[in-house]
Amino acid sequence: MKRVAALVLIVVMFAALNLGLYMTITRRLRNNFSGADQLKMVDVARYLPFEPESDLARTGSSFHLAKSDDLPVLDGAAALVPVYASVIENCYPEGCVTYEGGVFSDDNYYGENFASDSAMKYQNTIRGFDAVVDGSVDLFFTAHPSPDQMASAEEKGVELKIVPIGLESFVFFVNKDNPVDGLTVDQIRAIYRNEITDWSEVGGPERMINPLTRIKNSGSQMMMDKFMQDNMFEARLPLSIFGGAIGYSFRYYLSGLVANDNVKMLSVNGVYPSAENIRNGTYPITTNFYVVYRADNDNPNVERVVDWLLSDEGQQMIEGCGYVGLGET
Amino acid sequence: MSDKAFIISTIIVLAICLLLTLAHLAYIGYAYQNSSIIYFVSQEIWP
Repeated sequence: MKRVAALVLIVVMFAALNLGLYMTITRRLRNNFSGADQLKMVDVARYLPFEPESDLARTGSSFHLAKSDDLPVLDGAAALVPVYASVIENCYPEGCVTYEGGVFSDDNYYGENFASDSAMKYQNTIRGFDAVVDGSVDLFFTAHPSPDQMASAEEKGVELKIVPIGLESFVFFVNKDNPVDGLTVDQIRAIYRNEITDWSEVGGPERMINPLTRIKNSGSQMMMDKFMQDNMFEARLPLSIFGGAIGYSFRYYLSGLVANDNVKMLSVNGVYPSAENIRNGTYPITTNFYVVYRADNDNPNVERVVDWLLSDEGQQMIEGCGYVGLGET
Repeated sequence: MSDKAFIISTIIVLAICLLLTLAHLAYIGYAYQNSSIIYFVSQEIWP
């Protein structure tokens, strides 16, 4: 009987271990939009041009491209899908966004089925940047390309034009129940250099800090590398996965696209990343977002679209998408 | 249960439990790299 009990005890111990792992880690591993797949970072179905229910900025435009024009193909980072989809909604002819099989679907590997002749694509930062370099995309909406990406373009002999079109803030976030509401720039940098490893060192309870990172060359990771002045840890402390997490993103992606009520943005140097504090310049980590295109692109409509984005109408559309335009600084 | 039967049973039970735990850890390793950090933070438990 004791031997049977011993065997049962072994099973119970392993079950408890796995249950603990599940509760602390496994159940938290999924994507906001599609299971455990980081490639699908936005629900593109919400931002399809020429669909009445789409959540786009319909601010109007005096600039219109016709079906007979050579329409620039637009692509971009997840957080900027609403912006370039709104460009198409306001300036492009209806019918220019097409899908394989004729109907939008988001159940293929990368999530969307834009046809090869569609004026709208969604390949996100890494694949989309390669597409603008190889010429299959004309205009790419993104955070500033990384040094690696710029070097890659240069190696291929491609000169890029990188034009700022709006303002965005880079934000840090924690779980809403984390008692810490703000950090300084120095504290954040120390956390991501493993110099501060416990929330008690920044005014919180005793609990390890789990500093989360993103995949290399993603828009937010490129911004983080810049923020850290290329001096970031190689790896987190092994047990930090059980600690209280901190992550980073762009404000609009976090508060507008994902809009998860269980996370909160942190003030930085005592300033909360509100739209007002981005406009007045008091939030300390504000950056431009850009449209990128090949300098040798001979489609005249590429520069016409860029000029429109920089016009009052274009900037109004960017504001209508929830971002901050250049003119507000 | 004889000594031999107990030892064999223990080895089998341990092996199965270890294999399942290793598979769980392997899944965590894969999914952790691919999951959304926003969702990961949102599901955190604070006392």
